[in-house]
Amino acid sequence: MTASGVERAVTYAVLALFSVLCPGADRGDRADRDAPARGAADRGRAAPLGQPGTFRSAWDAGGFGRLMASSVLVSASVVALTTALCIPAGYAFGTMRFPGATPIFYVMLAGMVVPFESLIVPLYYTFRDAGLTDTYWALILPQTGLSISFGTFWMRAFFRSVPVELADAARVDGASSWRVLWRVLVPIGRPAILTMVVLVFMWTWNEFLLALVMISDQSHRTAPLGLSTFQSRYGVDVPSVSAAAVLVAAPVVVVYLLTQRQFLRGMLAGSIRG
Amino acid sequence: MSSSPVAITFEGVVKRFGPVTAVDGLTLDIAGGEFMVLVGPSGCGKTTALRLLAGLEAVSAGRITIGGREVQGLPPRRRDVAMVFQDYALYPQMTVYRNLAFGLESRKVPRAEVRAQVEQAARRLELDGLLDRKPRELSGGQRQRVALGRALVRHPQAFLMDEPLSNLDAKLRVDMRAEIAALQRETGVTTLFVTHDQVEAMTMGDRIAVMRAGVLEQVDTPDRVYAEPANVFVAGFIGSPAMAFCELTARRQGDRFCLGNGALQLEVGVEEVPETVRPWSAEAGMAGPFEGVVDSVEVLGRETFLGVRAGEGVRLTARLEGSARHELGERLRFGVERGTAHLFDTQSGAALAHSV
Repeated sequence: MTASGVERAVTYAVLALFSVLCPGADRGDRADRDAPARGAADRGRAAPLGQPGTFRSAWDAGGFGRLMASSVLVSASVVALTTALCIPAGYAFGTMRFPGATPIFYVMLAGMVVPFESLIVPLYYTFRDAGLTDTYWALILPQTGLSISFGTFWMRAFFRSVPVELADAARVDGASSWRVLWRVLVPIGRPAILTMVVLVFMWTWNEFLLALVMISDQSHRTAPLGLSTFQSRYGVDVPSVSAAAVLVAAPVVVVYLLTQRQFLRGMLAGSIRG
Repeated sequence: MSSSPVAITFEGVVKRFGPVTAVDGLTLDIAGGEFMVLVGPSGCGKTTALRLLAGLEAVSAGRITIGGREVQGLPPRRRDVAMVFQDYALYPQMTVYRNLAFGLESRKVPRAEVRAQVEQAARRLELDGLLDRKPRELSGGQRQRVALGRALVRHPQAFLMDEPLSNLDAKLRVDMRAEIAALQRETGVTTLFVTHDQVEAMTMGDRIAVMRAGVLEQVDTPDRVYAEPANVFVAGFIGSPAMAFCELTARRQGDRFCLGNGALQLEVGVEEVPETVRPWSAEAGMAGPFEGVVDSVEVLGRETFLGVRAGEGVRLTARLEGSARHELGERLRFGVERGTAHLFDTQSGAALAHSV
């Protein structure tokens, strides 16, 4: 569907209006908050978000170098584990008939429908008893578990959409189930797999609550937790938190941009008869 | 390469999908090196039978042997058969070369030998210039050749072909029909070819096996199936245009019976009905004892088919040489050539007499 000229003009007008309003609101908020401390003369002179210095100071103040490294480690581990587990699981559920396949799959799906917030307290005690709080495992294992539900569901849908003749042809050609998966199906499933990778990466990277509960040790904190650095009893340092939010969001945007084409293909897979 | 052609047998093979019986007690012997065509309408179980032989489905009951070895418990890769699929099933991410080589590589054939075999198969199928292309860069006919090449390159004990020509246009289909038949003769590999197209069945097979609703109705050479169909179903399925049927009433006249329906009357020594008549049994001169109304005209250039309604429930197709000029609704007189009618039992459908 192509947007008409009028729709496009309206879209741009709304975006332009908000672009003008947002920096103004930012300055106003900052000015109000700091007013008692700085006096009326300083009103409206907050450092604008667009200045590179704001990003640098936010980066340094929040210690984002280390936080980012933690986030990269956790996200990469979760993505790697999820991918390694969900591809074979989706393949089994999508292409094989075995006893109990349907009930097991529904148990898997339960992971997608149970609200994570309801599990976090028992999860905390379990990890504390196992001595895993304040370790990366406390972030990697629960998030991998959470992602497996979606990943298996997603990969199963992909494997079911692949013409069954492809796998059949490979089996008759002498390939084992494992070889059929890795040599025939995974290469054609790249868009679906990349889509799963991007989504899982995004969810893991942005995870806040789990990290807040499981991690108190500074050295294991992840980037989203760094945003709380700019929150104090008196309020929020909006330009710094905004700059930090941009920094925290940047890797997700970069990953999305790098994989955009495949990602969209994966999202649309099966929607149009090819 | 398999040293000598192997025989394939189905012995009382049954396949059930839940409450549905797709193949019901199939017993079929395919001789070594034979080109057997399994033909029948959609949903008759012919593809399921092929998949059972390939190992892509598990049999519910019965035995399948390839070269005397029972295979029903073996996975596809241990059966040493090659299969050509209706939609080709080429690996889209691989080049033609890799598609051809995949089966050999899966069997851990040394790389130099893989290359030699692939190049040989590519030359045979005129794919030499296409080895670096991906399937999406090929025409339908070229894809079909790659699918054939993938089967050929492995030198399997049997070729299994599942309606491999159904996605080709009419002209290419005729060419590929000849190509596959020639390839099979050259290699001498036992072949089971599944199709719903009776022209393919008649022109390609050493023998044809006609299936309906999971049951094998008749196995014989194409000309015998055509000349002596075992029952009404086979008679109606084989032959183009299809055999015309009409139900006749039998009246005893001494030791003979007169079978009739309106103007159609036939005197025979048996007492069963109905009679069926091949379309070209109508006499070309259009002079005869019977009369009917033309209700369809198909001019094909070299010949013309006229649909003639000749009585209640009686519709015959007459074949005329050349482009005959007849109008819809026209009344025609025609005769039935002696020795071209077949008689079948109305209850069981079994054949009672041929060439009446």
